[in-house]
Formats: sequence, C-alpha cells, structure tokens
Amino acid sequence: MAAGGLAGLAGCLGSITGDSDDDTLHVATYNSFIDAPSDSPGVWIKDEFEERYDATLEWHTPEQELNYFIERHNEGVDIEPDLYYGLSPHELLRADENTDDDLFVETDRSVLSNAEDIGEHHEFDPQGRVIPTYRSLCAIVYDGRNVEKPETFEDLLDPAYEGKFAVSNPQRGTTGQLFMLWSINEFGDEGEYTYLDYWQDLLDNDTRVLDSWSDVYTNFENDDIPVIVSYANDRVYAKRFDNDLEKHRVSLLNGQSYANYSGIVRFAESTNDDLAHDFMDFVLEPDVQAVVAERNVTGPTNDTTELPEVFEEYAQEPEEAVFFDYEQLQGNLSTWLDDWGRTVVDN
Amino acid sequence: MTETEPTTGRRVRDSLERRALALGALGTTVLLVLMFYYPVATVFVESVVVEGAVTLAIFLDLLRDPFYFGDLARVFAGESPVMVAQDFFSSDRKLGIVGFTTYQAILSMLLSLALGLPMAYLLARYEFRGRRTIRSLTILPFVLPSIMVAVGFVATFGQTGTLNGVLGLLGLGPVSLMFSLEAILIAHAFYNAPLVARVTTAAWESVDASAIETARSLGASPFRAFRDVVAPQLYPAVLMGGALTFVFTFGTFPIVLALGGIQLATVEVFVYQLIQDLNYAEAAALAIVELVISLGVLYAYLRYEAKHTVRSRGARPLPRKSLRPPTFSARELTPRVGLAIYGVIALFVFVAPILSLLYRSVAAPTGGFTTAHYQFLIDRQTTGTAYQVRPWPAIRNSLFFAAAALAVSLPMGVVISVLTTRRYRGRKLIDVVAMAPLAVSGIIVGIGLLRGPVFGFELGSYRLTITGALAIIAAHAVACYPFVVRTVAPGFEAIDRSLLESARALGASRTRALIDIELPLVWPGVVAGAAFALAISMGEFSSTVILATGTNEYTMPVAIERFIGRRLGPATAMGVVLLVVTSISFVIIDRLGGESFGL
Repeated sequence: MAAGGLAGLAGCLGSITGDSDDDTLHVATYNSFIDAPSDSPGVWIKDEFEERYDATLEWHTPEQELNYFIERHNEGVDIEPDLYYGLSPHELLRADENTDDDLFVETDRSVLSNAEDIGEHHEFDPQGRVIPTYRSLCAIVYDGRNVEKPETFEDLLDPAYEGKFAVSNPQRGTTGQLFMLWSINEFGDEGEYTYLDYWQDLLDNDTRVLDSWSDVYTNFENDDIPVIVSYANDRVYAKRFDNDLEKHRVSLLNGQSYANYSGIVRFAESTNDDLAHDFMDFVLEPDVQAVVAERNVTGPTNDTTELPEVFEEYAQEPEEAVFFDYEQLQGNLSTWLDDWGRTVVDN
Repeated sequence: MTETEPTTGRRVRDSLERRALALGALGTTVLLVLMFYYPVATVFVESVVVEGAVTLAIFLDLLRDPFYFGDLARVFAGESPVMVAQDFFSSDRKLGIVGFTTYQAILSMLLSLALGLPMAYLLARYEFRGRRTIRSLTILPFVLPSIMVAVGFVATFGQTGTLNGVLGLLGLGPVSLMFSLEAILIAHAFYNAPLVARVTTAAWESVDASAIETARSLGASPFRAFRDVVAPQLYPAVLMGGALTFVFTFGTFPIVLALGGIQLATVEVFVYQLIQDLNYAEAAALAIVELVISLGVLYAYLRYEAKHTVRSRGARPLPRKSLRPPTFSARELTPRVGLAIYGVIALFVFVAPILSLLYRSVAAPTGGFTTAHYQFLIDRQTTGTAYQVRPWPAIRNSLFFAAAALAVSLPMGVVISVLTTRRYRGRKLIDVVAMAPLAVSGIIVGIGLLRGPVFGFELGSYRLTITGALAIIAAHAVACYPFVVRTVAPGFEAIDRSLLESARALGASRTRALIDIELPLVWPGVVAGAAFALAISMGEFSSTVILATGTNEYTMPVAIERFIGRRLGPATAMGVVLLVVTSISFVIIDRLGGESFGL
C-alpha cells in the first residue's frame, strides 16, 4: 500500500552530487537553447567545445531558469554549474535585487583572448561580471498579404489594426516585456502621454495581450491575428522552413528595434577556473559567434565576426537598436511592470 | 513458511491485516508531509513571517487593495458595509481580480454542469454502439496541456475556424468567440463538463431500480419517481462535479490568457507573476486567499455530502433505453431530440478541438498534408542527444509513472476515505485538509518542491534530497489521490453500517471487512478514481519537470512543451501521441474495472 511506496522512496534518498573533476564543465542555460524543435545551438556548442578542449560539457537547464539558482543560493544549497550562459539584463537585475551577497562574480577579462573584441556598446553590466555573447532584436512581424506595414507605434493605434495586433504578456513572455520596454523608450514613464497611455490606447484598439509568445505565434500562424510582436529574424526562420515569405514580413517601428542582450557569467561558487575561462573564450571566438548567430538566429557581440549570408539577406538590421542597460532598469523595472499590470487589467 | 509454521504465519498475517489500515494511514501521512504539506508550508510561511517577525500586514494590505478585492477592499479598510453594498449594486461596481476570478469560476461551473449533465443522462440511461468507449474517453480532455487546447480552440472557434466555416455554409455568422470571456468559459467546460458527466453517470448507474419500481407501483408518475427517488441520489454527485469545477477554474492558468487576454486575468496569473518576480510574501498571501476560497467551497460540499447521502445495500441498476425511439410518441421523441441537439453542441465543444489537433499534426504550412511533424518525432528519437527530450522514453515514462502513481494513490485514497467516513467530530475538516492538493496553487507547490525535496531536508550536516523517478511517482500520487477519495468516499458513506458490524461480529478484521465487503460495494467509485488518477498523472507537468533529475525522466506533456516552436507541427504531433496513448489506457482501465460495475 502507501507504506510500500514510501519504502521504495527511501531507496533513492541521498544527494545528487555531480562528479567534481576538473575535466567536466557545468553550464547552466535556458532549455530552448539546447532542446528546441528547430536548431538548438547548444548541441553544436557542446560537441565542438568538447572536441577542441578535450573536456566534457554538461548542460543544466532547470525549469525555473535563473530563479532556480537564486533560490538555491538563498537557501544555502550548493550550486553545481560554473557558468550561466544566456543571461539578460533584467535577469541580472533580478538576481542582484534578490540576493544578499554575490551569486555571480566578475571574470578577469585579461585571461580571455577575445574579450577585447567585444564592442563596448554591447556591455550591459556596470560591474562587468556578465560578458555579452549575443543579442536578439524585438520587432513587429506582420502578414504582408493581409495588412499594410505598420511603420510607427502610432500606426498600431489606427482603426486598420483594430483587433489585429497581439503581444505576449510582458510579465511572462520575453517579447512582451521587450515591447513594453520599447514603448517606454518611445513614450517615457512620465509626462502628458506615457507608455501607460499608449497601452491604454492599444487596448482600446482591441490589442490582444496573450499569455506567451507561443500563443501569439499560434494565432499568427493560424491567420487569426496578422500583426504580432516577435523577432527581427523571423524571415530567416520562415526561409528555413519554406514558409510563405509574403506572409512573414518584419517591420522595425521608426526604423528601430529593441535589443535583448544575453551574456555569460561565472557563478561565485565555481572553482573550475581553467575550463570556465576556456569556455568563455570559446563562445566569444568569431567562428563560434558566427555559428551561434546562424543557429540561434541572433546577432554576435564580437565585432570581428563575419556573418553567414542567409543572415545578411533575411535578417533585418535596424538603423538604431535601442535598449535599457542595467542602471536604467534598476529600481524601475518592477514598477514599470506593476503599473502596467494594474493599468491593463483595470481596463 | 506457512506449511512448516502455520500458526506463526497466520499470526503475522492476522496482525498485518489488523494494522494495515493504520500502516496505510501512516504511510499516506508521511508521503503527504514530505511531498506536499511541508513544501507548501515553506512558501506559505513567508506571508506571515517577514524578517523574522510574525505579521499580518501583508494580508491586510492585500485585503485592502481594490485591485484584488474591488469594492470589498473598502469593507476591509473599515468603510461601512452598507455603503459599499449600495455602490456595489450600482453600475460602476468593481469586482477586483479575486471577484472576477470567482465570477468566471461560477459561470464556468454553470456551463460545465449544463454541458456535463446531458452527457451523464445519455451515458447512464441509453444504450448505443460505442457507449462504453465514449464513457471511457470522456475524461480525455483532462490530460491535454493548455497550449494544445489553445491550438484546438483557435482552429475551431477562430475567425477562420471550423465553426465559422459551418456557419458560413448555412449562410450565418461569422461569430467572433476568441479572446473573450465566452472562449474561456467554453475552454473550462471542455475540461470540466466531462468530469461532471463522469461522476454523475456513476451515481446514476448505482441508483437502485427497485426503489423506482416501488414508487411507480404506488402510482408515481415517471417525473415524480425521478424527482423523488432518482434526483436525490444524483445531487451529491452533481454538486461534487460543480464544486470540483469551481476549484479548478478558480485556480485556472494559463488558458485564460491564451484564449482570453490580459483583461481577463485571474488570481493565479498574479501569483505566477509575483513568484516570477521573487515576491514570495505577497504571492503566498494571495495563494492563501485563493486556497481559503477554494477549500471553503469544498467544505460546504463535503458537509452537504455527509448529510444527504442515501444509504443503500447495493443496487440493481436501471435498464438502459435504446437510442432509437420504440414509438414515435412525443414522450419518447422529446428526450431524444434534446439529446440530438446536445450532440451537435458537444461535437463543437469537445470533438472539434481534438479533431483540429489531429488535423494540425498533419497539415503542411503551405496547404495539403504532410508527415513531416511525425517524421520530426522519429528523427528526434533516433538522433536526439541524451539531454534532449525523446518521444519514446517520454511515452514509456508517462505509462510507468501513471501505473505506479495509480498503485500508490488508490490505497491512499481508500485509506483516507475510510478514515473520513467514520463517525467522529471534525472528520469533514480532515477531509477538506486532505483535499488541499486540489486547491493549492500549482506555482506555489512548485517552489515548495524545490525548497523541500529537491534542495533537501536538513538532517544535521546532511541534506536528504528526494528527486528522480520515485519522487515523481510520489508527487503524482499526491495529485491523484484526492480524486480517488472523492469518488470512493460517497460510496463508503452510503454503505449500510449493519453489514460492516455483522462482518466484524463474525470475527473479520477491519481490513478483511474492507476488502471483502466494502470495496466490492464501492467498486464503481474505485474504477472512476483510477481513471481520474490516470488522467491526472498522464497530464502532470510542473512537478515532473521540477523533480526530474534529467531528460530520462521526462514525460509526454514535457515533450509537448519542449517541442513548441515557431512551427506548431512537432508539438501537435506529440499531442496526438499523448491523446492516443491515454485513450488506450483509459479503455484498458475501464475494461479491467468490469462493465457490471459500470463507471
């Protein structure tokens, strides 16, 4: 009976400690990086790194992503991974605001041969702990067969787009949050017409704020919603999967795009210096940056990287990539999200 | 051993038999504490302990926040209830998030009852080809991940969906159902009406035919006989279906945002957001408010159930009628025409979304059909790496975990049912506490599981972690057993006590009496509980990913989630695999349960 189940349970009690030998590097990331239905860059990275450095790379992708490690840290439980790969400014901020002492540490960049090629304008951590590795660009994707191209933020308020525009919930989906930040960059959070007024107007125009990017994209694919917030690289994927390129069109509002940076950072508890440095240098290597750019369909941060042709042809490059760095987000992000939530739900 | 030492062997067996119930209760308690109550408590405590000091400030702030409690917040803030009530009945009332969540849960419950009861009537009272299979498959929607339901709903009720296609052919429409309260209510009914139908069918099938025959012979009209004899035996089941629907739709997430949009956000959406933001104190307070409301509804139901159970000594079920009317009289035709109309509605609500999934899994992006999405599953199986989810291990794990969770949760459920149907004060309170796994926010449970079993329980300098396959089975069993209790306990409540007393007087141990007398009498409930347990385990996602130590312990719902990408095909193909595997399991469980015990 139940007692039997418990007796069995006792069989697996005991802590799961990985092998602590120095030939294995443990890297944490988000799971779509290693296990997406399209092309996961993580698979190539692991194989290539292991071959070049004669080491073993083990991925760690807990469901709660960064929060898992914040939680472990705060509960005083050891953290196994040496590095976190794919950390964004808002996540770094969340880690700093919710931990008493350091979860991450700065890496001595002088030991990394590629560090100096990282463009200064990509940096987002004022303490220099996180080294930027790639960036994605948030943009509007629209169905070129059925709607006119929206060129500006104001266009989306036009009756022509009534009920035809969808975005994911900024509190849950990345693209939604990027679009909210983009709207703050455009309208500001104080003055006569703020980003909240803009969202109010969006909702008055029957804009759909759905759960996740997947829900938004499902509606786009189903021809139910012709204009969505997604990524500037949409056409690269469309091309790859033989989708209708007329349907998959990208618009950069005001010629801009909101940039989401991701970087690599060292966990404070990590002791495997050599391999950790090897891996950081590896992902900053121009040829590796180019492969990740192609597979991940994201932009490189090493300015010496030469991009593959398909990327040049189908990915839209904005005249200006806007983004808030750490200091601009600090003390503001939770308030922005909170105010946003209260505005739209009270609608 | 029994041959050489018959007396010792027998003594051991007897003493085990005597203690089995106590041991079962102990095991159940330990399992629940380790995998549920303690983990949840680690999070809940944050709402009342801030920086080491006990405080109610977080609750007070929450209760006084009109954002959550609307006009009611003013009462908590000290305003006169009369004034607030006057404003509330004016036109510009504010419900707040909690108020709106309650409102949509009540509507969802009513719609689920409206769509579930005719199904129960059809399944319990009519005989037709495929009836048993349909009954087996009724709870299939239960296992579908919300993203799959969203895909099915967009394809059925969207602008260019099936419904509008059919309406167009009839020269009607188009209707816009997506992104509205209606869409959410229909989706909730999609999940919960089958539950209502299933429990009501069970009750209906155990109505004793002789009681009705007696009533009829005494001159009661068929309607009277139904109202006075049948209906009272159905009410507890109907109310149970309603109460469970309320609890599930009160804690609904993320289907509300997927089909409705942010304007229709429920409490759970904000619990998620607060947890994501690591604001545990407020998240826990909100989740406790949610829990109190849900358990309040369950408690009210349990009180009712205890008072209104019709005692019986077993039943000879009513004979089923043929769907084909024997005569063309109005009395024979009316219910059948009603069922035909219901059938059309059911086709759209329950069948079309699932068919849309099937279609999606073979639809090519440029029109026409493709097997590419299934090819993806095969490719992933053959070339996927060890740290990626592969379809076959996911299928195997789902089946294994479900079978094991069933084996653990059935005894757990039976033990709790026995303990909560004995006569003592406060037993319904214990029952309602035992139902907490149904009502605690899944997001809170997730964090609790991390802090408890995953990070480990501190024992001196040692950390005792409980993860991996056995932990997953334990967590599934915790999620499953309340369903077993709810389907089995009414049966225990209804058993004539004198049967049990005679058995005990004749020397049977408590366990022997349970196995030989009580269980056979409540068998339909056990089978129904098993079916629900199977569905819950097969559909479980969050505890599984949290407790798994690697991809080799992932299940079908996890595979579906991982396969979501720009193309919907791979995920829907995996969704179809989930549907097929669970359908087969449901049919097998039902056949094993036996038709005479028709659940």
